Amino acid sequence: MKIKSVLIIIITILVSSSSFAQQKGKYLASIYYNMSFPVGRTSDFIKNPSFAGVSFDGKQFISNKTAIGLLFGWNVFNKQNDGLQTFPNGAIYGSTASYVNALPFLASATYFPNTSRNAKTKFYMTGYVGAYDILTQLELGVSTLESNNWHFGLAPEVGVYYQAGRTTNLTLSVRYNYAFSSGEALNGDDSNEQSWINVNLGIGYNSW
Amino acid sequence: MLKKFKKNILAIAIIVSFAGVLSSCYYDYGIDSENSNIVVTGYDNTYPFNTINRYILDTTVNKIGDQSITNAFNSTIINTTRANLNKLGWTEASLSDSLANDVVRVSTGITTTTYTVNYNDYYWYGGGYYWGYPPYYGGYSYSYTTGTVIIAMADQKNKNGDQLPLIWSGILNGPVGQPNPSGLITEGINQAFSNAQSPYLYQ
Repeated sequence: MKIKSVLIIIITILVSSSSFAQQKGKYLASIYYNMSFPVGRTSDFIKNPSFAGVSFDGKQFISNKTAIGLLFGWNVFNKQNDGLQTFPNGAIYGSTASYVNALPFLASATYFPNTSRNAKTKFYMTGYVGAYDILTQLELGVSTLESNNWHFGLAPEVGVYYQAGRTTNLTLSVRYNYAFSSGEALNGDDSNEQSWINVNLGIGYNSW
Repeated sequence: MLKKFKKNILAIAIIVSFAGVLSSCYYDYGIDSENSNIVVTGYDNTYPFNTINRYILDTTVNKIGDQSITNAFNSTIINTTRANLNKLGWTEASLSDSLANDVVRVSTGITTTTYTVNYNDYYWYGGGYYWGYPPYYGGYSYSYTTGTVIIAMADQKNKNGDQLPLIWSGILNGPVGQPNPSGLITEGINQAFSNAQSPYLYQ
Protein backbone atom coordinates (compact mmCIF):
# COMPACT_ATOMS: atom_id res chain seq x y z
CA MET A 1 0.00 0.00 0.00
CA LYS A 2 2.77 2.37 0.99
CA ILE A 3 4.77 1.50 -2.12
CA LYS A 4 1.72 2.17 -4.27
CA SER A 5 1.29 5.62 -2.74
CA VAL A 6 4.93 6.47 -3.27
CA LEU A 7 4.71 5.33 -6.90
CA ILE A 8 1.63 7.50 -7.48
CA ILE A 9 3.44 10.51 -6.01
CA ILE A 10 6.53 9.89 -8.16
CA ILE A 11 4.44 9.47 -11.32
CA THR A 12 2.47 12.63 -10.52
CA ILE A 13 5.70 14.59 -10.07
CA LEU A 14 7.13 13.23 -13.32
CA VAL A 15 3.99 14.02 -15.30
CA SER A 16 3.66 17.50 -13.88
CA SER A 17 7.33 18.27 -14.41
CA SER A 18 7.03 17.21 -18.03
CA SER A 19 4.09 19.59 -18.48
CA PHE A 20 6.21 22.33 -16.85
CA ALA A 21 8.97 21.63 -19.31
CA GLN A 22 11.97 23.86 -19.59
CA GLN A 23 11.00 27.27 -20.98
CA LYS A 24 14.48 28.70 -20.62
CA GLY A 25 15.89 29.68 -24.02
CA LYS A 26 12.49 29.49 -25.75
CA TYR A 27 11.18 32.61 -27.40
CA LEU A 28 8.02 34.45 -28.47
CA ALA A 29 7.66 36.93 -31.33
CA SER A 30 4.43 38.89 -31.80
CA ILE A 31 2.85 41.64 -33.83
CA TYR A 32 0.10 43.75 -32.25
CA TYR A 33 -2.69 46.05 -33.26
CA ASN A 34 -2.81 48.87 -30.69
CA MET A 35 -5.77 50.97 -29.63
CA SER A 36 -4.68 53.94 -27.56
CA PHE A 37 -6.52 56.04 -25.02
CA PRO A 38 -4.78 59.29 -24.08
CA VAL A 39 -4.62 60.27 -20.41
CA GLY A 40 -3.08 63.16 -18.48
CA ARG A 41 -1.42 65.91 -20.52
CA THR A 42 -1.68 63.92 -23.75
CA SER A 43 -5.44 63.94 -23.20
CA ASP A 44 -5.34 67.72 -22.62
CA PHE A 45 -3.76 68.05 -26.09
CA ILE A 46 -5.84 65.37 -27.88
CA LYS A 47 -8.85 63.80 -26.23
CA ASN A 48 -9.71 61.38 -29.04
CA PRO A 49 -8.81 57.72 -28.65
CA SER A 50 -6.59 56.37 -31.41
CA PHE A 51 -7.24 53.28 -33.46
CA ALA A 52 -4.04 53.63 -35.50
CA GLY A 53 -1.21 51.79 -33.86
CA VAL A 54 1.06 48.84 -34.30
CA SER A 55 3.84 47.23 -32.29
CA PHE A 56 6.23 44.31 -32.53
CA ASP A 57 7.95 42.50 -29.73
CA GLY A 58 10.18 39.58 -29.06
CA LYS A 59 10.71 37.80 -25.74
CA GLN A 60 13.17 35.14 -24.71
CA PHE A 61 12.85 33.09 -21.53
CA ILE A 62 15.81 33.41 -19.18
CA SER A 63 14.22 31.06 -16.66
CA ASN A 64 11.12 28.93 -16.66
CA LYS A 65 8.84 31.81 -15.74
CA THR A 66 10.74 34.93 -16.71
CA ALA A 67 11.42 36.36 -20.15
CA ILE A 68 13.24 39.44 -21.33
CA GLY A 69 12.63 41.19 -24.60
CA LEU A 70 12.40 44.21 -26.83
CA LEU A 71 9.41 46.17 -28.16
CA PHE A 72 9.08 48.66 -30.98
CA GLY A 73 5.83 50.42 -31.80
CA TRP A 74 4.05 53.33 -33.40
CA ASN A 75 0.96 55.06 -32.00
CA VAL A 76 -0.71 58.06 -33.61
CA PHE A 77 -3.22 60.43 -32.05
CA ASN A 78 -4.98 63.12 -34.04
CA LYS A 79 -7.77 65.62 -33.67
CA GLN A 80 -9.16 68.56 -35.58
CA ASN A 81 -10.53 71.50 -33.65
CA ASP A 82 -12.76 74.29 -34.85
CA GLY A 83 -13.76 77.39 -32.96
CA LEU A 84 -12.06 78.56 -29.79
CA GLN A 85 -9.43 76.66 -27.83
CA THR A 86 -7.92 78.11 -24.68
CA PHE A 87 -4.46 77.44 -23.26
CA PRO A 88 -2.70 78.53 -20.05
CA ASN A 89 -1.29 81.69 -21.70
CA GLY A 90 -3.66 82.37 -24.54
CA ALA A 91 -6.22 81.11 -27.01
CA ILE A 92 -6.63 80.16 -30.66
CA TYR A 93 -9.71 80.75 -32.76
CA GLY A 94 -10.03 78.91 -36.07
CA SER A 95 -9.31 75.51 -37.52
CA THR A 96 -6.41 73.69 -35.98
CA ALA A 97 -5.24 70.12 -36.12
CA SER A 98 -3.25 68.35 -33.41
CA TYR A 99 -1.13 65.26 -33.93
CA VAL A 100 0.98 63.08 -31.66
CA ASN A 101 3.22 60.43 -33.19
CA ALA A 102 4.81 58.23 -30.54
CA LEU A 103 7.47 55.62 -31.25
CA PRO A 104 8.34 53.47 -28.22
CA PHE A 105 11.66 51.59 -28.12
CA LEU A 106 11.44 49.53 -24.94
CA ALA A 107 13.19 46.71 -23.15
CA SER A 108 10.99 44.35 -21.18
CA ALA A 109 10.96 41.82 -18.37
CA THR A 110 7.94 39.49 -18.22
CA TYR A 111 6.80 37.15 -15.51
CA PHE A 112 4.51 34.22 -16.31
CA PRO A 113 2.99 32.73 -13.13
CA ASN A 114 2.08 29.58 -15.02
CA THR A 115 4.05 28.33 -18.02
CA SER A 116 2.52 24.87 -18.10
CA ARG A 117 2.24 23.64 -21.67
CA ASN A 118 -1.14 22.18 -20.83
CA ALA A 119 -2.49 25.64 -20.07
CA LYS A 120 -4.24 27.13 -23.10
CA THR A 121 -4.13 30.57 -21.51
CA LYS A 122 -1.08 32.07 -19.87
CA PHE A 123 -1.36 35.29 -17.91
CA TYR A 124 1.65 37.54 -17.64
CA MET A 125 2.90 40.80 -16.22
CA THR A 126 5.51 42.89 -18.02
CA GLY A 127 7.54 45.90 -17.01
CA TYR A 128 8.94 48.00 -19.86
CA VAL A 129 11.63 50.64 -19.67
CA GLY A 130 13.18 52.62 -22.50
CA ALA A 131 12.81 55.56 -24.81
CA TYR A 132 9.86 57.14 -26.57
CA ASP A 133 10.41 59.35 -29.61
CA ILE A 134 7.35 61.62 -29.50
CA LEU A 135 6.50 64.18 -32.18
CA THR A 136 3.71 66.61 -31.30
CA GLN A 137 2.38 68.88 -34.03
CA LEU A 138 -0.13 71.70 -34.03
CA GLU A 139 -1.38 72.98 -37.38
CA LEU A 140 -2.54 76.57 -37.10
CA GLY A 141 -4.12 77.50 -40.38
CA VAL A 142 -1.32 77.05 -42.85
CA SER A 143 1.46 77.07 -40.26
CA THR A 144 2.66 74.07 -38.26
CA LEU A 145 4.31 74.09 -34.85
CA GLU A 146 6.32 71.00 -33.97
CA SER A 147 8.11 69.58 -30.98
CA ASN A 148 10.02 66.33 -31.42
CA ASN A 149 11.72 64.86 -28.36
CA TRP A 150 13.17 61.69 -26.92
CA HIS A 151 11.56 60.83 -23.58
CA PHE A 152 12.62 58.33 -20.95
CA GLY A 153 9.63 56.13 -20.24
CA LEU A 154 8.12 53.31 -18.25
CA ALA A 155 5.22 51.02 -19.09
CA PRO A 156 3.62 48.31 -16.96
CA GLU A 157 1.49 45.76 -18.81
CA VAL A 158 -0.79 42.87 -17.95
CA GLY A 159 -1.96 40.41 -20.53
CA VAL A 160 -2.88 36.93 -21.49
CA TYR A 161 -1.58 34.59 -24.18
CA TYR A 162 -3.95 32.11 -25.72
CA GLN A 163 -2.35 29.10 -27.34
CA ALA A 164 -4.21 28.97 -30.66
CA GLY A 165 -2.01 26.42 -32.40
CA ARG A 166 1.12 24.47 -31.64
CA THR A 167 3.38 27.44 -32.33
CA THR A 168 0.77 30.17 -32.74
CA ASN A 169 -0.66 32.30 -29.98
CA LEU A 170 -3.04 35.21 -29.65
CA THR A 171 -2.55 37.97 -27.12
CA LEU A 172 -4.75 40.49 -25.36
CA SER A 173 -2.99 43.02 -23.18
CA VAL A 174 -3.33 46.42 -21.56
CA ARG A 175 -0.30 48.68 -21.20
CA TYR A 176 0.04 52.03 -19.47
CA ASN A 177 2.69 54.19 -21.15
CA TYR A 178 4.31 57.02 -19.25
CA ALA A 179 6.91 59.17 -21.01
CA PHE A 180 8.66 61.62 -18.68
CA SER A 181 8.75 65.29 -19.63
CA SER A 182 11.26 66.24 -22.30
CA GLY A 183 11.49 69.35 -24.49
CA GLU A 184 8.79 71.98 -24.79
CA ALA A 185 5.04 71.43 -24.76
CA LEU A 186 3.30 73.02 -27.76
CA ASN A 187 0.33 74.22 -25.73
CA GLY A 188 2.48 76.19 -23.27
CA ASP A 189 2.27 73.67 -20.42
CA ASP A 190 5.28 73.67 -18.12
CA SER A 191 5.65 69.90 -18.56
CA ASN A 192 5.79 67.86 -21.74
CA GLU A 193 5.12 64.46 -20.19
CA GLN A 194 2.96 62.16 -22.28
CA SER A 195 0.87 59.18 -21.23
CA TRP A 196 -1.69 56.85 -22.72
CA ILE A 197 -3.17 53.41 -22.27
CA ASN A 198 -2.80 50.81 -25.03
CA VAL A 199 -5.20 47.94 -25.52
CA ASN A 200 -3.35 45.43 -27.70
CA LEU A 201 -4.46 42.50 -29.81
CA GLY A 202 -1.60 40.36 -31.00
CA ILE A 203 -0.70 37.30 -32.97
CA GLY A 204 2.56 35.57 -32.32
CA TYR A 205 4.90 32.67 -32.84
CA ASN A 206 6.28 30.65 -29.94
CA SER A 207 9.25 28.31 -30.22
CA TRP A 208 7.89 25.51 -28.04
CA MET B 1 2.90 22.55 -51.16
CA LEU B 2 -0.66 23.65 -50.42
CA LYS B 3 0.25 24.11 -46.77
CA LYS B 4 3.18 26.32 -47.74
CA PHE B 5 0.94 28.31 -50.07
CA LYS B 6 -1.62 28.81 -47.29
CA LYS B 7 1.15 29.95 -44.96
CA ASN B 8 2.35 32.48 -47.54
CA ILE B 9 -1.19 33.77 -48.08
CA LEU B 10 -1.57 34.21 -44.33
CA ALA B 11 1.73 36.08 -44.12
CA ILE B 12 0.73 38.34 -47.02
CA ALA B 13 -2.68 39.00 -45.45
CA ILE B 14 -1.05 39.98 -42.16
CA ILE B 15 1.46 42.26 -43.90
CA VAL B 16 -1.24 43.91 -46.03
CA SER B 17 -3.53 44.49 -43.05
CA PHE B 18 -0.71 46.06 -41.05
CA ALA B 19 0.30 48.15 -44.05
CA GLY B 20 -3.29 49.42 -43.93
CA VAL B 21 -2.93 50.27 -40.26
CA LEU B 22 0.35 52.06 -40.92
CA SER B 23 -0.97 54.05 -43.87
CA SER B 24 -3.98 55.13 -41.82
CA CYS B 25 -1.51 56.58 -39.35
CA TYR B 26 -0.74 59.31 -41.86
CA TYR B 27 -3.92 61.21 -41.21
CA ASP B 28 -4.10 64.69 -42.67
CA TYR B 29 -6.99 67.00 -41.91
CA GLY B 30 -6.16 69.08 -44.96
CA ILE B 31 -6.40 72.53 -43.50
CA ASP B 32 -6.18 74.71 -46.59
CA SER B 33 -7.08 78.15 -47.84
CA GLU B 34 -10.79 77.46 -47.20
CA ASN B 35 -10.46 77.16 -43.43
CA SER B 36 -7.10 78.61 -42.57
CA ASN B 37 -7.93 82.00 -41.05
CA ILE B 38 -6.84 81.94 -37.44
CA VAL B 39 -6.71 84.35 -34.52
CA VAL B 40 -4.09 83.62 -31.87
CA THR B 41 -3.87 85.54 -28.61
CA GLY B 42 -1.29 85.29 -25.87
CA TYR B 43 -0.87 87.15 -22.61
CA ASP B 44 1.26 87.54 -19.51
CA ASN B 45 -0.94 85.89 -16.90
CA THR B 46 0.88 87.65 -14.06
CA TYR B 47 -0.03 91.14 -15.32
CA PRO B 48 -2.87 92.94 -13.45
CA PHE B 49 -5.11 93.73 -16.44
CA ASN B 50 -7.82 94.99 -14.08
CA THR B 51 -5.67 98.06 -13.27
CA ILE B 52 -5.67 99.37 -16.87
CA ASN B 53 -7.80 102.45 -17.52
CA ARG B 54 -6.03 104.17 -20.39
CA TYR B 55 -4.18 103.27 -23.55
CA ILE B 56 -1.88 104.91 -26.05
CA LEU B 57 -2.45 103.72 -29.63
CA ASP B 58 0.32 104.18 -32.17
CA THR B 59 -1.43 105.30 -35.34
CA THR B 60 1.20 103.92 -37.71
CA VAL B 61 0.86 100.30 -38.79
CA ASN B 62 4.38 98.87 -38.72
CA LYS B 63 5.38 97.01 -41.85
CA ILE B 64 7.46 94.05 -40.83
CA GLY B 65 9.88 92.86 -43.52
CA ASP B 66 8.51 93.76 -46.95
CA GLN B 67 7.99 97.55 -47.01
CA SER B 68 5.90 97.40 -50.19
CA ILE B 69 2.89 95.90 -48.39
CA THR B 70 -0.28 97.83 -49.22
CA ASN B 71 -1.50 100.62 -46.93
CA ALA B 72 -5.10 99.81 -47.90
CA PHE B 73 -5.88 98.12 -44.59
CA ASN B 74 -4.15 100.57 -42.22
CA SER B 75 -7.27 102.54 -41.32
CA THR B 76 -9.27 99.31 -40.80
CA ILE B 77 -6.58 97.97 -38.46
CA ILE B 78 -6.24 101.19 -36.44
CA ASN B 79 -9.95 102.03 -36.25
CA THR B 80 -11.05 98.52 -35.30
CA THR B 81 -8.33 98.25 -32.66
CA ARG B 82 -9.34 101.62 -31.19
CA ALA B 83 -13.04 100.66 -31.15
CA ASN B 84 -12.23 97.46 -29.24
CA LEU B 85 -10.01 99.25 -26.70
CA ASN B 86 -12.80 101.77 -26.08
CA LYS B 87 -15.27 98.91 -25.69
CA LEU B 88 -13.14 97.65 -22.81
CA GLY B 89 -13.93 100.92 -21.03
CA TRP B 90 -10.42 102.28 -21.46
CA THR B 91 -9.83 105.87 -22.62
CA GLU B 92 -7.25 106.99 -25.13
CA ALA B 93 -4.25 108.94 -23.86
CA SER B 94 -1.23 110.31 -25.65
CA LEU B 95 2.50 110.03 -24.98
CA SER B 96 2.55 113.67 -23.88
CA ASP B 97 0.11 112.99 -21.02
CA SER B 98 1.52 112.35 -17.57
CA LEU B 99 1.63 108.58 -17.43
CA ALA B 100 0.57 106.48 -14.46
CA ASN B 101 0.51 102.74 -13.91
CA ASP B 102 -2.83 102.39 -15.60
CA VAL B 103 -1.56 103.08 -19.12
CA VAL B 104 -0.71 100.53 -21.80
CA ARG B 105 0.83 101.12 -25.21
CA VAL B 106 -0.81 99.45 -28.18
CA SER B 107 0.87 99.10 -31.56
CA THR B 108 0.01 97.22 -34.71
CA GLY B 109 1.95 95.57 -37.51
CA ILE B 110 1.41 93.80 -40.80
CA THR B 111 3.54 91.29 -42.66
CA THR B 112 3.33 88.65 -45.37
CA THR B 113 5.02 85.30 -45.77
CA THR B 114 5.32 83.25 -48.96
CA TYR B 115 5.49 79.47 -48.81
CA THR B 116 6.52 77.24 -51.69
CA VAL B 117 5.30 73.67 -51.92
CA ASN B 118 7.37 71.54 -54.25
CA TYR B 119 5.73 68.29 -55.22
CA ASN B 120 8.94 67.08 -56.87
CA ASP B 121 10.09 66.35 -53.32
CA TYR B 122 7.42 63.72 -52.94
CA TYR B 123 7.71 62.05 -56.32
CA TRP B 124 11.45 61.57 -56.50
CA TYR B 125 13.02 59.02 -54.28
CA GLY B 126 16.62 57.91 -54.22
CA GLY B 127 17.33 59.19 -57.69
CA GLY B 128 14.54 57.23 -59.37
CA TYR B 129 10.80 57.33 -59.50
CA TYR B 130 9.23 56.16 -56.30
CA TRP B 131 7.03 53.13 -56.63
CA GLY B 132 3.39 54.02 -57.11
CA TYR B 133 3.86 57.30 -58.92
CA PRO B 134 4.01 56.86 -62.66
CA PRO B 135 6.68 58.86 -64.50
CA TYR B 136 4.16 60.97 -66.46
CA TYR B 137 3.08 62.52 -63.17
CA GLY B 138 6.23 64.57 -63.22
CA GLY B 139 6.39 67.19 -60.54
CA TYR B 140 4.96 70.60 -59.92
CA SER B 141 5.14 73.31 -57.36
CA TYR B 142 2.97 76.14 -56.19
CA SER B 143 3.36 78.96 -53.76
CA TYR B 144 0.97 80.87 -51.58
CA THR B 145 1.25 83.97 -49.46
CA THR B 146 -0.28 84.56 -46.09
CA GLY B 147 -0.94 87.90 -44.50
CA THR B 148 -0.47 88.51 -40.79
CA VAL B 149 -1.78 91.37 -38.67
CA ILE B 150 -0.25 91.77 -35.23
CA ILE B 151 -1.60 93.83 -32.34
CA ALA B 152 0.80 94.20 -29.43
CA MET B 153 -0.01 95.60 -26.01
CA ALA B 154 2.91 96.62 -23.82
CA ASP B 155 3.50 97.94 -20.34
CA GLN B 156 4.35 101.60 -21.02
CA LYS B 157 5.21 102.46 -17.44
CA ASN B 158 7.77 99.72 -16.88
CA LYS B 159 9.77 100.20 -20.02
CA ASN B 160 13.36 99.10 -20.05
CA GLY B 161 15.22 101.62 -22.21
CA ASP B 162 13.52 101.42 -25.60
CA GLN B 163 11.96 98.07 -24.82
CA LEU B 164 8.47 97.69 -23.45
CA PRO B 165 7.43 94.44 -21.74
CA LEU B 166 4.80 92.72 -23.88
CA ILE B 167 1.65 91.88 -21.89
CA TRP B 168 -0.81 90.86 -24.63
CA SER B 169 -0.70 90.08 -28.32
CA GLY B 170 -3.27 89.26 -30.94
CA ILE B 171 -2.19 87.70 -34.23
CA LEU B 172 -4.43 87.25 -37.26
CA ASN B 173 -3.22 85.02 -40.07
CA GLY B 174 -4.78 83.94 -43.34
CA PRO B 175 -4.02 83.49 -47.02
CA VAL B 176 -3.74 86.60 -49.18
CA GLY B 177 -6.28 86.82 -51.99
CA GLN B 178 -9.49 86.00 -50.12
CA PRO B 179 -12.56 88.11 -50.86
CA ASN B 180 -13.27 91.06 -48.54
CA PRO B 181 -9.94 91.24 -46.69
CA SER B 182 -11.02 94.37 -44.74
CA GLY B 183 -14.03 92.47 -43.39
CA LEU B 184 -11.82 89.52 -42.39
CA ILE B 185 -9.38 91.86 -40.61
CA THR B 186 -12.24 93.56 -38.73
CA GLU B 187 -13.73 90.18 -37.74
CA GLY B 188 -10.33 88.92 -36.64
CA ILE B 189 -9.52 91.93 -34.46
CA ASN B 190 -13.00 91.79 -32.88
CA GLN B 191 -12.45 88.09 -32.16
CA ALA B 192 -9.03 88.73 -30.56
CA PHE B 193 -10.52 91.30 -28.16
CA SER B 194 -13.73 89.34 -27.53
CA ASN B 195 -14.79 88.34 -24.05
CA ALA B 196 -14.70 84.70 -25.17
CA GLN B 197 -11.08 84.77 -26.33
CA SER B 198 -9.58 87.36 -23.95
CA PRO B 199 -11.85 87.48 -20.85
CA TYR B 200 -9.07 88.82 -18.55
CA LEU B 201 -9.14 92.15 -20.49
CA TYR B 202 -12.68 92.69 -19.22
CA GLN B 203 -11.90 92.25 -15.51
